[in-house]
Amino acid sequence: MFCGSSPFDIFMRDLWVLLPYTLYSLLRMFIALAISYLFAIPYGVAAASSRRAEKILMPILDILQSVPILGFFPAAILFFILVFQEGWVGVELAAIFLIFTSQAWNLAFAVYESASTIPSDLDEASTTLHLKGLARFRNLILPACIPKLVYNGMMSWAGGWYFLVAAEMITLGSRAYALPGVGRYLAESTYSGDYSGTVLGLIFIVLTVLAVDRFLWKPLRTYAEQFRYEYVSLGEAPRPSHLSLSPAMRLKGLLKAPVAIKDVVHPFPVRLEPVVDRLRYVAVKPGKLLGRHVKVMICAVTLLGCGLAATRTSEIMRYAYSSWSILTEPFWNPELKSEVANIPVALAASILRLFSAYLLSLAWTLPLAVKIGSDRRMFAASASLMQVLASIPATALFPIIILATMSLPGGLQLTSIILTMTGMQWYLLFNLIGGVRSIPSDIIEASEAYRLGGFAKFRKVIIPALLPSLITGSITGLGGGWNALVVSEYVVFGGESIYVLGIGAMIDKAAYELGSFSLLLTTIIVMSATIILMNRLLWRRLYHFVFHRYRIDY
Amino acid sequence: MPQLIELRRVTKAFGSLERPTVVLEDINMSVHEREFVSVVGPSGCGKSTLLRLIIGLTEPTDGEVYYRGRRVQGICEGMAMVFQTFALFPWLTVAENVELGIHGKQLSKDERRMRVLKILELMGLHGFEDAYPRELSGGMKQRVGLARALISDPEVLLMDEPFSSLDPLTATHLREEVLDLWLDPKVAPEAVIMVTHNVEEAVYMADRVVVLTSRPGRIARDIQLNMPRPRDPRSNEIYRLVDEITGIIA
Repeated sequence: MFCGSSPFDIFMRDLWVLLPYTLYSLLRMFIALAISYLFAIPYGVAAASSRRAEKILMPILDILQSVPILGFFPAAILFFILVFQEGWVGVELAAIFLIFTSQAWNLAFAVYESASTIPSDLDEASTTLHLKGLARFRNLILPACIPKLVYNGMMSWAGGWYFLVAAEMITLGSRAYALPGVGRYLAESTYSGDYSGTVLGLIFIVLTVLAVDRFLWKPLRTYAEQFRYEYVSLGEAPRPSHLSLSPAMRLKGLLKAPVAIKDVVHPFPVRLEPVVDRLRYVAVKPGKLLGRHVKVMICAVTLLGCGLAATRTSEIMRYAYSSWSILTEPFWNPELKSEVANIPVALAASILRLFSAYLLSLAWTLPLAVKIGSDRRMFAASASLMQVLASIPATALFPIIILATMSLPGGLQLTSIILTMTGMQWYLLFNLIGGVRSIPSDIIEASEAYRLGGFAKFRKVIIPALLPSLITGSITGLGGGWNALVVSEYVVFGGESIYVLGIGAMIDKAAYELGSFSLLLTTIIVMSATIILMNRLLWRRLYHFVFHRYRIDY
Repeated sequence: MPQLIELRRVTKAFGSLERPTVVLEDINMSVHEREFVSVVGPSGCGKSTLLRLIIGLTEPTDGEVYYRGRRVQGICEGMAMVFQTFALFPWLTVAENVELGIHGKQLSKDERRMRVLKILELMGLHGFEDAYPRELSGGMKQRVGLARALISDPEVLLMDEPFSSLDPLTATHLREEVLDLWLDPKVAPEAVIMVTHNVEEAVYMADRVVVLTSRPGRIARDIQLNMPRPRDPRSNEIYRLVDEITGIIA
């Protein structure tokens, strides 16, 4: 060990480890995000394009989304690590796949929602203009999806960071694989009690998140504004909104933000025009970008993958056989039997925990969202901060949260609720802020004209107007919460595992302690089924009711 | 004049088979070359549905629509539509929006550019090629909508409440310009069908006014107007017709 080194030496050594680690993580995340987009766009568009496709594709997406990320571990390990013989490539691909599972579903829903809510006048205009196939996709469907692709892309990106630790330290039963990355660094430092390493890792993550927000999401947010619809009202004049991108506004933006790519994306100085055209072309019409060489590359990679898989056929078969025998291991194994009997109680405990976390999250996000959303300056200032906070892989900080909260009244129960909140609160906050932002100003003005003040305004105007986004936020937030349960009901801390009664803890126990595939599968199915049932029976009905009654449209 | 469009016993119903909502019932009408037809009626009488049936956006539940003697199936070539809400693509510039009107035609890049510039010039949109729709006023937006429809030299121009999203002054100006286009043999389509709930507008602009009853919409009157142009919107004859038609609708 480095016992003799000075703190500075340790710092420098860690720095040289962290730099490439951060880049590795970032690369992994970008690849996963790119694959998520490649999956989500055709999937969502296909689901929105025909009733029959919708009937098949949306339930599948529903199920995929409700399977906890950890549920994909066996699949990831079976497929990637075995195909590539536990080598570097396989573990890397497995990690990318796991990050993908935390990003892709949300994006596919976003595409589906955008593509199926295209205003009917634009849809009809496209039809009368004979826009079909690729031309329709390029001129109508893809542009219509861009705002949500960007906004939900940001959410997915944050979600990816949240699960980075899990993806970089894949454990299943006795098998454990660790990848070079900042998530692993953070987890290893924190779990071994090296808190200076935790702080250093956090600084790196925050800087990375900030840089990505500044150079990717911020220009994309500005770019996406161009793809929003506007609604026609009688006697309308051009609105001097901050969203409109008149040349003067562009100039101001340029002066204020000298490095932003957005200024290059929007056609402004003549000198830049060729670059601008190219960029806009790339941005608006990526259909063309998928030229022949890209297709050739995709084919080559697929063939390569298949070839590699083929050479390993015998091993895959052997492994598949052995995992089949594990799967069919007898349930009358007394230990497993008692575990299975525990499922209903554990499930009830988890649901209770989840809703406690939900109410606590709501208690702080709702007032804050109203505050931030109704104040434009505050919104602009806090957008990046929120993005950073949401992106911090809270899973890596669990030991610190545990140390801080364990001695509070309520003990471990309270701790696990707080840990669960880390996985759901941001979805609520983001959706609520979006909801507040989209309350039309005339409603606010009318309520002021009728002197609705304070509580009356909150109760009669803001809450009803917020209900649709509250429902959306609750659905996504609870989805995140279920996922968080798996990591927050069972934490390895200081060499021992701390857990509370819950279905999430059972999943972990099955995976890590017992190494029992059948118990893992059973618990995951129970959890997914619960999520789907709750969505169907409760949330979807609420959603339809609220959208019918409280939607603001003219 | 030869017949362009013919509707034979057209009925259109929405909703389920057991409980259909009939919006149009037993519509028989035809439109001839060099005819400017206005369709008026109370709201919900199926005026807009009539236009959508003619261009082929939707199919009749019963009866047939013919265009130049051929049955309309799918979107009709040779027709173009102008929308009440403009239906401009917010992510495309004015020039790109207009160019969509000829996107399917086999034309060189230069030829496309030339036609776009020519029609923009004609619609008084010169200099706005690279503006985005949200930067334009309502009147300018509808000019873009008209340019996009006219660039393909359609035989029939369909207009669905083209002036009702505009403020009254802008609407008055744009009406005059549409009439000027109609009287210009170089650019005018063979026929125009305009749906409106504004009776004055219909009487002032059209050669023929088709009056629909309230739901289910049927043809109440088909009035041929033989007034020379330019017309005086405050003439007695126009007042008389407006009163007469308003009496039928109300």
